Amino acid sequence: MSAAFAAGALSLLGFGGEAAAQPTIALAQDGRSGDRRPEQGINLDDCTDVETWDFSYNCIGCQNVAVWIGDNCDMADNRAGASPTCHELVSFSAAPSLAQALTIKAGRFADPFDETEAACEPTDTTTSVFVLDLGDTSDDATAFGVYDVLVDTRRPPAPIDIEATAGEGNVTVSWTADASDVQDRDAFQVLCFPNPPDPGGAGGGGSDAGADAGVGDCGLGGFVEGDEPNDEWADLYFCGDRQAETARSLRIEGLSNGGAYEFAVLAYDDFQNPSLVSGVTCESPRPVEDFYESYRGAGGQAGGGFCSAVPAGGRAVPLAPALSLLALGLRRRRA
Amino acid sequence: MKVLALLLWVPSVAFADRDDYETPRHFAVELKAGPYLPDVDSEPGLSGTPYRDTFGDGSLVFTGFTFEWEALVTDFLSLGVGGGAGFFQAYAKANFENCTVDCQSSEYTVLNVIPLEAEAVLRIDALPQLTGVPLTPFGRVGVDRWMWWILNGNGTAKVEGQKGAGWTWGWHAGVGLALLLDFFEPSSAAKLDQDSGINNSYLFAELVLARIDGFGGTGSLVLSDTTWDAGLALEF
Repeated sequence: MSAAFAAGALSLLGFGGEAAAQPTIALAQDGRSGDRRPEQGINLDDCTDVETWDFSYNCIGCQNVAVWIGDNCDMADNRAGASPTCHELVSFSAAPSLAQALTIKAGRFADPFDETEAACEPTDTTTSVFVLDLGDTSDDATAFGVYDVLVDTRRPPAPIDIEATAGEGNVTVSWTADASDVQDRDAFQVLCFPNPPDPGGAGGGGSDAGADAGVGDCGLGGFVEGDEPNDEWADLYFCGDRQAETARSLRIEGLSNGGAYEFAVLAYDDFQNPSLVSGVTCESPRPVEDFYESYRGAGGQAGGGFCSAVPAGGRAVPLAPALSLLALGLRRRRA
Repeated sequence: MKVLALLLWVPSVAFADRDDYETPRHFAVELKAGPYLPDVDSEPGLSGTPYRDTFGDGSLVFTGFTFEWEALVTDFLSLGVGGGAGFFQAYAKANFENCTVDCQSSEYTVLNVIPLEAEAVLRIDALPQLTGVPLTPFGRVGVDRWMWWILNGNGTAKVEGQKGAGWTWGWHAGVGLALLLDFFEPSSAAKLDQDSGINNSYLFAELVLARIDGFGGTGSLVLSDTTWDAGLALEF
């Protein structure tokens, strides 16, 4: 348990007569079972993985202590009204004399009323843990401590307009970000099937052979539009690094000319929730004829580099060594 | 009153003298731009039109600058020698090999050219001097060595181990007309001369004949064109 009692928000309500009789409540978050992002709250992965959050609390001078989870639980109507927003986790008929520990599953933060604690319904909210001193009534709390937890278990919309354009040994995948998630957009991840061994590698370029290198045909990929990504996909389908929120295309290298590849894109929001799989597109890298290949194919003979002189025969002659020999010859003649 | 008249007269005489004074003229610089379409496909022995097939037949923009030493300056003409450099780039999406339909790939292919030139320039300054018409005919001729290289998606293009890069020798000539801007704001021009040493400023346009073809030999990427350019020239 950390000594972070001070981290819990402390609020005192009421004026219970003499100062010595005022209850004092401390509430702190001591840790969480996962080591997940984001630090400030709970995302969909935290929820589905049943991450647990540990708290400790203490109440000095309290009469009737209860722990609730929800929104504005210090208000009686939110605990027992027509439309309660809070769920009771623990209650004591008398104030505990020692500090208490409490573990809450992430699913409770997504939905305080979810008894399975694992439904993880999509939501984007702030859920609070309240330690209440209800005094001798069930009315509004006379004192409470509160700890706010941000919860975002809602997937961002998947990117749209997925396009793939082939090159030689590479494919450029482009996408459009859905306009509805402008405020909650963090990154993109391109998916490939089959996944090349070095998708971000420089050079590569494939071969001109045009032969199928054993890759599958389109339509046989491991993902389809609307699939939910999981942790295994990082090894199976993730192509290249995660792209910044401003990125709209990625060149995937190391592909085999003639092979069929499927591509899709995931979006990630600020809480690192992935979208469902976008539309899937298919493309096959093919040999490309650049201008020099076209020129040489038409019979052009120029080239060889800046340090070479190219005679009519087209054989490259390094210019620098030739000039060095010429200079040496001139020096010897002067001598 | 006489003292006041004297005080007014002396500065005006001094200013008049400054107006007439011109700082020495030694150099000239030009910044210019114009359309350019290298005649790559005219190379002897070339079958087909690889440049046009790749980049199309539209002119692109050439930009450049020259610096010259005005070795001879008289009241009626100046003769300068100097050199210059520029830049020209053609780029397009490369096509797939042996393709007939939907052939454009995602990869760019690029032709970069840096012209390097040495030249002599003759300017006829007599017209403004004798007639007050602010036009200066000029002509130039020079020797060129143009640096070029071709890029694809993986860097410098290669065919059978030979890099798509090299040099092409050639020559160029041009004739043009320069509009002397000093004519429109003589006092500002005089002040510019006194403050910064810039004697004359011009807007100019010229016709250019560039024969960049290895002097007719084979094995050179032909970058010739007959075109025009326009720009700004300063003498200082």
